Amino acid sequence: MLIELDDVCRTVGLVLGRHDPKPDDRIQADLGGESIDVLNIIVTLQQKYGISLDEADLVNVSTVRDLYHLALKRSDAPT
Amino acid sequence: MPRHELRTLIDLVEEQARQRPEQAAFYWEDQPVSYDALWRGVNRFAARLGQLGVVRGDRVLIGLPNGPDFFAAFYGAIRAGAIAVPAFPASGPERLAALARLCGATLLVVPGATSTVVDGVRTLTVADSDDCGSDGVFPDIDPYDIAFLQYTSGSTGMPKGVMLSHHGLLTNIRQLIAGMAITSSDCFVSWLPVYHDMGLILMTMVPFFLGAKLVLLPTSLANARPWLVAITRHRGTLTAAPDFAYRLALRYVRDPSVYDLTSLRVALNAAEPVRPTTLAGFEQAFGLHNVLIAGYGLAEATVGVCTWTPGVAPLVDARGVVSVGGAFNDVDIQILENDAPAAAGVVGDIVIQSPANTRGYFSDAAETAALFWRESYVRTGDLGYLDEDRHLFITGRRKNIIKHGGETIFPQEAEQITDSVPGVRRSAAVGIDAGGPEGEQLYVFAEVSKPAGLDERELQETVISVVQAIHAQLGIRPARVYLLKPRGIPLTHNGKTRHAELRDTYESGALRASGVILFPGY
Repeated sequence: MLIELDDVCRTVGLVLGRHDPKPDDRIQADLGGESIDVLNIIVTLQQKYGISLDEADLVNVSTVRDLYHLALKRSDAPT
Repeated sequence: MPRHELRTLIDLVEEQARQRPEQAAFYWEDQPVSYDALWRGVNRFAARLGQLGVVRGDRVLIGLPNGPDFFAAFYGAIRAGAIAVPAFPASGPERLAALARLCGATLLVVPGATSTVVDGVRTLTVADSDDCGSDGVFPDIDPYDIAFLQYTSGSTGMPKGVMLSHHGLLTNIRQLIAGMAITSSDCFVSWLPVYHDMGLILMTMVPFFLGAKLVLLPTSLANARPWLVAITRHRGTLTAAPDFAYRLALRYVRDPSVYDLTSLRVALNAAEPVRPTTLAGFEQAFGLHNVLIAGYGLAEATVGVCTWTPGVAPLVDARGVVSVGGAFNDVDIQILENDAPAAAGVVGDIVIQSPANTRGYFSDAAETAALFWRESYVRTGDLGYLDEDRHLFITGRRKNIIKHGGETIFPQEAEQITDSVPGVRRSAAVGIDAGGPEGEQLYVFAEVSKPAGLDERELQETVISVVQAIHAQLGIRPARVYLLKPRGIPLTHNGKTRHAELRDTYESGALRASGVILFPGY
């Protein structure tokens, strides 16, 4: 499945109960996500895009755009 | 005053402030907060409550996160003669208003002046007491007075306030100390929420009782790093967390050798089912040996009922169930089959008798009556068995309780909220463990009233409304909300939701294959 930024935004919005999060919104600071919500976003993206994300990468994820880049990187990675 | 003569929580803090005023009661953000400072803060806040007309037995709702203010408010409320009612600080106004109504609180302590406004409830901050004196005169407290109410999920969707007395708390503090051989030389490291029983009683009252070192951290469910750093830096000997937190630490940490956790004597694993793989994996990664121990407890017995013995290899049965150990001092555990005691090895309802047992739920005679077996045993709602040596094994739950990040949620709570969202005709909430580090999570399945003509945008809006409603009232978000066609939820002949079947068909993919899931497509 093609990974698009606005689709990642929508998916994050569904988990957090937010209308139209913006790419540069910080998931925790701006969108009010708890750390457990971040994990659930990761699980959702993995299932939606059929990719595998390493929780250790999350340390560098702050905004929705960061998540998008992480997902892109993983979808390109050889499995 | 020797420790065995302490009769109330106030005695406890006052005595430490008298005996060791300069010693740190706890470290917060690496700064020590002395017992003297703690005690003065408690008295100032109590004085402020007195000015506001608080009298003995009044309930004061405390919506504060981990930090020094929590202790000033909590012990200050009790000092003023009131009953403290800790609440999840991220609770939305609706949840706080519901709690305030249930316990009849007219005061809510909030972190900042701009915080939540709840109808009919006056809000105040700990800073509001800065100008108050710390030498006021306060009501005498009886050891059998209620110190605080621990609200837990109720099976009917209404939270229940477990009444915890000073006597029960001090009894359980002593049981915990004996059960885990805790001493004043232990160093506690905790990020557990102080507004919840394990974080509050085991991880703050026990070190206060002993005058042991406590390093308190902000609550963090998913970021293990500050926790592991604090254990390493302070040479922590005692910590506690639910299983998922240890699993998470294992996943997060690429190089365990960065941390040195070998100072740990006890790492309690409780509040969630304990996985043998977590015990083995964590100990292997960090070079520990019989430090991670399984424990069991419930608010109705104050908090702790039993733990495995530190330093002894864990006991795991043939089905992979980890024993949570034998009963603490003066605690009797019985297993009931058809409401009568069962033989060793037989799985049944776990009931607990303890001098730390609650007298019941605040202002809820019906739930209180249903709580007890033979008057003195509390029904835990959990299923398990005792082996020949009276080691307890927890095998399941009587009710479809959902454990979401260490919080207990009854399906009915989430379902009532979801059913009130426009466009939803019926809903079912189940706990799903997708196999990741987050562990069991709340999943909500909602049948929509009129699926015909709903476009993608409207489906999204419905999901967002469900998430918002649950977050506003329960303070957590479901991991996933699925919208189903009408009659997509499996029911019994008399119309009750078949939660187990729904979970099984979802996990096997049969629910998706049957075409009842409208949204989302993953």
